[in-house]
Amino acid sequence: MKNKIKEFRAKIGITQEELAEKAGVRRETIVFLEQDKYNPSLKLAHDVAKALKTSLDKLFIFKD
Amino acid sequence: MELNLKQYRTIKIIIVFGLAFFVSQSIVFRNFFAPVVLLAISSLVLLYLRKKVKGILADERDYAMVGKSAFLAIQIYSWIAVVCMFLFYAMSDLNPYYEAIAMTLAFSTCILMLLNSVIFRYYDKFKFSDKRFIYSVAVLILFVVMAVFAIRMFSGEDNWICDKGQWVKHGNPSFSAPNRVCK
Repeated sequence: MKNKIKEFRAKIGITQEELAEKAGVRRETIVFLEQDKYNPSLKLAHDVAKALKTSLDKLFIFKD
Repeated sequence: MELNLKQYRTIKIIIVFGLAFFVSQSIVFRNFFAPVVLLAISSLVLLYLRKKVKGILADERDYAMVGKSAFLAIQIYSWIAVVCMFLFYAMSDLNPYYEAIAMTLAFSTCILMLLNSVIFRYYDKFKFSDKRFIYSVAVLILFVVMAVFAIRMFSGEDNWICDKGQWVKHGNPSFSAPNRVCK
């Protein structure tokens, strides 16, 4: 699973720290998410998408 | 009073170091009650400070890692303990103390695996984030262990008693006389 968190975060101009606070996780988790080193739970994916004012299907790319 | 994550972690490290020093000194001076009390107080202090922390201490990624590392730790410990247990049992003819070490390893492995199974079954059936059950089980186990320990220690049955500078058998203890000086 790939994601566009970094791209969307840059678009709305918030830092990793701010996104982490909005999504209710630690900054390190956002770092790992952006590097595609961690697959989030559905709840976290939803919270990150909400914080970035976008939808899950736009933020996450699922590959078969 | 509010703490940030860094302050909390610094305090935690200081408490852990202090506790380690105090426990080692208590063992040297053969005082085993004080470290238990201090451990309980430290846990309560950390629990209190944890509530004062502004920010997130742990999230789902931490919990996932904790789960995986706990699973691996249990497996590694169990294998090492079981192998060592057989070795100590095999060598118990050389030194009777080895049997006690083997039994400790065997029982600790059994308790660890049993506890792991019970908690796993609970999470498998009930709400994943409910911590009340874990605390209840921990308190219950602590109570049972302390009760068994107290009964064994203070019943005076099947033990070695220090009498006029010599260790005297009382009842039928399953272990040999302590090797410390009897005053």
